[in-house]
Amino acid sequence: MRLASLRTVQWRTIEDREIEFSPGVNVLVGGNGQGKTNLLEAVQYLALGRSHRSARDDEIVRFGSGYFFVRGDGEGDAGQAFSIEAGFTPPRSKRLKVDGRPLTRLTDLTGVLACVSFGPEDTELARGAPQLRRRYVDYTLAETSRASLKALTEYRRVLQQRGSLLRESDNSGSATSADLQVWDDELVRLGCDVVVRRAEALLDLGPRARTLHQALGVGADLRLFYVVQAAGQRLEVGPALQGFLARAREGALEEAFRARLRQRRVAEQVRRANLVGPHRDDLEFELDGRDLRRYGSQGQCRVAAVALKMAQAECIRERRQDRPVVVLDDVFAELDERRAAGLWEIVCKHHQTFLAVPRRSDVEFGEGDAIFRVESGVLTREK
Amino acid sequence: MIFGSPLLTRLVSLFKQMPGVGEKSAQRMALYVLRSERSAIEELARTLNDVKEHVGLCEVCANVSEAPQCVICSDARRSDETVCVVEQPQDIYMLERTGAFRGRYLVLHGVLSPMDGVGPEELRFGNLRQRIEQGGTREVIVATNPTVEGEATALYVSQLLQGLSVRVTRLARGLPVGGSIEFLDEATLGRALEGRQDV
Ligand SMILES: [Zn+2]
Repeated sequence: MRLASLRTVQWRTIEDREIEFSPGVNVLVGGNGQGKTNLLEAVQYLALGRSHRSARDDEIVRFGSGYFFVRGDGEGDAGQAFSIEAGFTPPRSKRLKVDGRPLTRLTDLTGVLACVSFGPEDTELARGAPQLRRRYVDYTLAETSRASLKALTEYRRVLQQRGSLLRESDNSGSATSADLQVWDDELVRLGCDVVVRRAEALLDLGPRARTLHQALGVGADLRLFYVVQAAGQRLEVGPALQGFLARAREGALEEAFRARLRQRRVAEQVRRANLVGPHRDDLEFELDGRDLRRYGSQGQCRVAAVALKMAQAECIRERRQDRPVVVLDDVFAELDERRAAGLWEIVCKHHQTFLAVPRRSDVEFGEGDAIFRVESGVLTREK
Repeated sequence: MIFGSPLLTRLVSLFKQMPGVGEKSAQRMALYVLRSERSAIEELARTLNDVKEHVGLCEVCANVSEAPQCVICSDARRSDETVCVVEQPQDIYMLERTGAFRGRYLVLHGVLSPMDGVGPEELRFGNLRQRIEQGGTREVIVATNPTVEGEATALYVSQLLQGLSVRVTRLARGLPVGGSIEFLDEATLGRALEGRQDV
């Protein structure tokens, strides 16, 4: 798919205007604080319905103005047109529209504009908080299947319900096992579903990330491991995870999940929190057999993260039969020339790409690519 | 906000307390009252009063009723063998429209939701166990919506009836995502009723 045009009104420091994009690579050239990242943020906002870097919409509204509005028009690979509009008036009036129709739920926006991004915050993917890695897998799931999105949403819901039962219990004595039983059943049912879906996605992502990493790296071997907390297992993404998945489908996961839940029952009541389930899963990575998180250099973590994100783009492309747009914020900064060329070859040639770089000389350009200079929020097309 | 009449402003704020009514609709409703014939408004006021006065909940199934027992519970042609558990009174109307169900009902007036402070005590289970035992009921169909809370409530019903020789079933899955029984057409709901499964 591609984003053909973007219109922004009172969006941070960006001048109000409509921009037409190339279906190939769109390079945004500019120094720090000139507005490149703000513009990339607008593209991502259309995909997610929220900002990936600030939790609050009112921070996006240009200083001194009353609202923001952003609209994107584009089409899928099969030619089906779409439009997305997002508007926000402080303090909390937010509106999202797809093809002119207002959305009541944020999840209805998921997948309309499939987008894979890589920015400075993603370098932490390999060694930051586990939540980043769960979000990575879950985003892949949500972008590729409505059923998976539903499973994730429902799992989050059962966590809230069960959590609130565990929390409120201190007023009237602790939540009894009888009170918890139906929520335990729901937790296990939906939790197993989430684990199975994550395992399936990882079996798709893992080999792709490994191949991409080889193309980007210096031949080092990247291996993925899925840590399934509810089962107390760490499984290499490959035959081990496949075996686990087969046993999970026959009920082994449910059994392990229930056993662990029983074992942690008292701890859950004391701490008044959900302590067992896929919300505590993690991913681990090994580079040539060594734990990346512990022994990896910043550069190695960065290359691994790029490979993982690009595997995500491939995975979404395969499963949806439609190419996601790719947003790269200053990704070449820490990649050497060969890796940068590799990334260009692997990604930019195959997806509509939005690429922010500090200097024009940092990239080579193809025929249909567009170059914009960004200065103090003003965009000028140079090519 | 309508300027000029505190009474009208008060009416708007009362309308706004009704479910699904926002400021704009409330204003339109208030102006409708203002512009209507006196007789029409008198009838509206009388009906509001009468509803409050004469409509209660059936003592058996908690459906709305103007008598101690509702029309369904007092219909001798219906069978006690099956009891269908629903979230809201309007769900009964939807199920009745399918024509596929000839048993009795139980209206819970909600679903389990700890987040909203709704536990089993807040729902109208009444003395379901006793009713099932004494009525010779053989199947309880739980027709709560296919949400996380609806499923948990279905599990609770089956837990509540443990040890009785009664089959507890659930409407067939395959209801539309996020689908509420209230918005289903008869054919879909009829199929869901036919394809029910054990909880
Ligand atoms: Zn009744």
